[in-house]
Amino acid sequence: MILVKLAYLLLLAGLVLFFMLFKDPLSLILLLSILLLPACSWLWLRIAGRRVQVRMLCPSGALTAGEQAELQLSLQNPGILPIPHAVFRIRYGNTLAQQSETIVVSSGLPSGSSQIIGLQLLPEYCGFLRIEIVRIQLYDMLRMFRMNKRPPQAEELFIAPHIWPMQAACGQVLSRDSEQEVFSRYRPGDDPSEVFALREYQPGDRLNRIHWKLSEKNSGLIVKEFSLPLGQAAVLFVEWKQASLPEQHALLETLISASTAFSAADIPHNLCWFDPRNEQLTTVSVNDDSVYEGLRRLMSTPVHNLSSSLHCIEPDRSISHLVYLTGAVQPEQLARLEQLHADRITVFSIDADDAHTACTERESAAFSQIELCSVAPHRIEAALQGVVL
Amino acid sequence: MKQVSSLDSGVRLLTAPRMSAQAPGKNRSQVWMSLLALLGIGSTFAVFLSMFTLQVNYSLLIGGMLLCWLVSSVLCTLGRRWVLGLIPAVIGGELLLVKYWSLAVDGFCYMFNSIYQCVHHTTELHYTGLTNQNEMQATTALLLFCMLFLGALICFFTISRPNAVICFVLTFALPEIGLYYGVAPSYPAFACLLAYWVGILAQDRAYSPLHLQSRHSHQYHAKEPLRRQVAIQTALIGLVMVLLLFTAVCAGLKLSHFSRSQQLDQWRMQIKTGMKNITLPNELEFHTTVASPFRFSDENRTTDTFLLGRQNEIRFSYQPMLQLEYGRMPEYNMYLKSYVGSRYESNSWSSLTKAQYEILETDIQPEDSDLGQRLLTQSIQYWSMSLEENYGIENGIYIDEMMISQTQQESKTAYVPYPVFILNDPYRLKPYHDGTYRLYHAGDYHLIYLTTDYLNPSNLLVIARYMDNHPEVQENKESRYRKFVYDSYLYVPDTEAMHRVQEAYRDRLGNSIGTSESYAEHVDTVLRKLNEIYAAVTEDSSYTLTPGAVPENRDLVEYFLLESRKGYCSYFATAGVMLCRMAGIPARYVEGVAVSKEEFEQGETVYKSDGTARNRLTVDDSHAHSWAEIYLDGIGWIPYDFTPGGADSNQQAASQTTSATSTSQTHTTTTVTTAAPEHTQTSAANTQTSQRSDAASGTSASFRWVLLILTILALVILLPLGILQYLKRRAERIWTKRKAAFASKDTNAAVIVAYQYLLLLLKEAGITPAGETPGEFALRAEAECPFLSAHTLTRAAGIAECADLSQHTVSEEDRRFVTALAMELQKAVASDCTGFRRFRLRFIRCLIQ
Repeated sequence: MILVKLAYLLLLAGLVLFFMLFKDPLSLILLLSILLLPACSWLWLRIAGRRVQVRMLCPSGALTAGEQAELQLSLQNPGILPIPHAVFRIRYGNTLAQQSETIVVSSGLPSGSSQIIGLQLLPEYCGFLRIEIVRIQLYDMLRMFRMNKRPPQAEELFIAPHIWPMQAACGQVLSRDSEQEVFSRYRPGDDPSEVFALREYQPGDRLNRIHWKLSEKNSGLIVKEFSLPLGQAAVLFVEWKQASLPEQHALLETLISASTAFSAADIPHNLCWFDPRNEQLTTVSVNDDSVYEGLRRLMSTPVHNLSSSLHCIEPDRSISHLVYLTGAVQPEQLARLEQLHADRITVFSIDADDAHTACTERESAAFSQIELCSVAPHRIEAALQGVVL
Repeated sequence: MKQVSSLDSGVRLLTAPRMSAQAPGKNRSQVWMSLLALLGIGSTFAVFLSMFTLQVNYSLLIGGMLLCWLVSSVLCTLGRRWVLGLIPAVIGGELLLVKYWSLAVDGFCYMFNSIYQCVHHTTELHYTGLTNQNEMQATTALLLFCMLFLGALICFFTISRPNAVICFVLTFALPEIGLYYGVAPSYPAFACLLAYWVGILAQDRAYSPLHLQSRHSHQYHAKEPLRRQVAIQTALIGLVMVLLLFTAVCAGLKLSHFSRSQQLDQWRMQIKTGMKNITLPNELEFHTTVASPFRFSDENRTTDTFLLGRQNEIRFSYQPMLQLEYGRMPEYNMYLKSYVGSRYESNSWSSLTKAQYEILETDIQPEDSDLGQRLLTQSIQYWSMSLEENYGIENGIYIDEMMISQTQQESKTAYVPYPVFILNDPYRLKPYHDGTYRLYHAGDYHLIYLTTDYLNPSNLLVIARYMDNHPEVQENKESRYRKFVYDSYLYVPDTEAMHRVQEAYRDRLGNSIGTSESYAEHVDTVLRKLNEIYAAVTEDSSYTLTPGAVPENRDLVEYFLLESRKGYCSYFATAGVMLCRMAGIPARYVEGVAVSKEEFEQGETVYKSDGTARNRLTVDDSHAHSWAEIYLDGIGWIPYDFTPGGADSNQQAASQTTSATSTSQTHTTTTVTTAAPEHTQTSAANTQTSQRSDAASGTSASFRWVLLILTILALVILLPLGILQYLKRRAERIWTKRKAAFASKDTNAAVIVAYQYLLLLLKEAGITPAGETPGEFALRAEAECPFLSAHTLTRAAGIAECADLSQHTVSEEDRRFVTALAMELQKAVASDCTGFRRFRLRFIRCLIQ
């Protein structure tokens, strides 16, 4: 535009010179005509530009990662004046990614026209596909003037993660339909209604725990351990922290696969993650379709920058099955998990680095109660295959 | 499915944005373009034809134009292959017309003559010897020749390859001929042409995609049918808009009774002077001091530089010389002299010797300064004043004041009319030799001039008779000056050439006139003799600006009178003066400007601050002229024009003389040239080289500087911008091609291109293959280049080798790997370089984006 304006100024200078040298009024007519031409062009742009309507049409419903999305931009110029040039800067990207892409589409808008600009996008990862028209610029005939038009609101499309098949072993956790109380098979508790185990007396045992009848038959004192009632459903705890998009994608796919497996086995479970905004754990109880709602909430939550958010889980909180989903798991996290009152702990470590994964697996051997499953971002299906929750 | 982009945003744009709109068919849109082309062709020729009065067969011309347009449009509309058909079509058309080629050449001469006459306001022809019988056919043939070329080109650059600049150049060429010379075209035709320009500009701008300045964004443009549809709509609306605008402005000016300001005209004159001064030919002439017969000054004059007949031709530069501001219109054609040549030697006029002037000054001036002044300046104020008092000239003698502005204000030579009356500017003007004046201080100067035509033969005879009857008014000093005149201004070189001339004209010249006791008799005799000499000089002679150079060692007078019989005013004046001298009539050669009374009437009326109306006339160098001055005893020097262009005015004057003589009972058939000949407008002023450079006015010089600075600025700003724009476009083109090659379906070719690109990038990083295998080089490059990871280039080299040397088709994954590696390396190199290196890599080598 600068060049055009410069050229126009040069033309004007030439015409002024022509006006001075050429005695006939034609020179003045020419000068005035050329002088007024941009004004007319500007007026044309303003009049035509006002009537231009731009809308964005997005498909309704959710899409799955890898599924093509067809987005449309509807451009209407109902007036009798065409818009010689219109430039649309369209930005799109996954909200989970830190980057977005901008494309520039330039097109004229004929008078009385209605045209559609179709964009075929392929979201490779789950998350929210955000598409917005950043700027709409309309240019005049001479490309000397530009008119900015207010763009329509941005649209967001939920891109659901893919669900990979997993199995959930029923019985360890409370079944959804069961009215019975379930007790831990692994840990003793304080519920006297169910005996967890019998063992020999150890100093310090409480007197009322001694099983007198058996002690009578036996040579020594036998103490009965009460069971631990499993009042909590399975918990899918997500370490929602900064990671690459493929890792986040793998994390979410693992999460939804696990949740789906639990749901399929009719096992009630909760999604749980740390929300840095209020520095609290957010828990979503998953019902039939609420997993997506949970995912939406999770993806809307900003990532935290802690090394681990496990400290937010109360140590004395008893959990039947804790599924811990995180990036590359660290030994400190495993140690912390060991301390939790979880009947069963499964850790999904999303780690792109194979060497690190191998190292982690070796170190996890020290934590007998923890089941570690390493998931490589690009091999999710293979990693989850055969995993039994 | 073509993947357009794959980026870190997690979203991939699968295909370029698809734009769907109802666009007209290609043919329909090209019909509009064809009509636009027709407007361009038609308006171009309409503007040209409206400027000049040409004898043209309009039916044939319009028919030819339509045919040319139809053929060209159809060929351009049919498609790319058919466009090539334009070449044979044009050649074929020209071949069909080739038998009329000689006619077209004649047409050029006719057209040139018409244009010449129109732009120079003359009836003079540049090309002579043409019979006007076939003028219409010849001019039409020439225009058809032009139309065939222009029409085809305009159609091509309007329909097939819309290009506003080329279309403008093509359609502006013909109208520019007239516009350059200030000829106004027909307004409707010009409005159509302007509309075409704006239309094609709008069409071009709308059609060409908008390249935006965004390094990281991907740009997508609408498809051609949609762009074309918008372009056509834009062009049509732009066209209508300009027509309306033009009409509105015309109407506005008409209603407001617009008239140009005087200041504007002054600027115009100054600009014209300035612009003409900086033309290359003038600059060259300034340095080479080309000889000119018109010197207007004897400053810095040498014999060599002012040789008559040295050039083949002389040309006008139409450079403004004088601006005359006057009150009443002179009733006669005014001669304003600036230079007088008194001595003729070797084809050159010069002043008398210093000793001769000293005699004049010592003998006459000191004793009676008033008379001496008058004699020196050849002022006949005394007689003129006496005329009205004593003889009651019928219409009376009126005087008025004239202000003369010289555009070349550094010149010391003043232009003064006959006779010089009261000088209002004695401070600026002082008399010089031979009745000329020198300008001692730059600026406008004021003169008193006669508005009445009194220097006609009848008045001269009246004066002479008065002097005969009143011997008391005779001045003794005049007789002494007369002696000086007869001693000095009868000199004829004693050469064989002059002897031959004298011998050839002996019969017509008769005996030497000499002095006479009766003034009336003397005047009558001299006027008769002048008439005879005029006839001798002009009979069988032709006036031309291109007489050809006088052969070396030949005298101009002899060559002109006895051989060539063609020349311009200097030839005639010189020959006339020499014949006068041979006949015993004191005569001398004069240069200056001649302005006809009709031109005085065309002067613009200006209003002074005190409300008085004055007339203003700009005199350009086409008014430069040479004539003779004849000395009449007791009266003084009078102008006499020997140039044959003055024949008509001489006839007119002769009739006046007849009527005058009937009352005075004195018969004379000759006339003193108080009527400027027509040709004085065309009698040329050659580019007055050394004088022009000397006399460039201050304003012109400053304007010249301004223009020079503007030109330099424009070059400094526009040239780099233009180069940058070119480099940018070039880089964009190369990148587009490179990306297309990377995404080629032929994966082998894509890999090879990508690998070659990798090598270029590595070369920029200072890593070049040195007689090693690709694998070895890749290993070394990986080690040396910080941007390459291990096993990347090695793998790429392997893939490229496979693609180049084997029959195996490289997989899509391998292609992606190599291209991705190339792009990554490109990014790394781009981020690593700054400043000029970045500029070089981006715009010159086109290796980074």
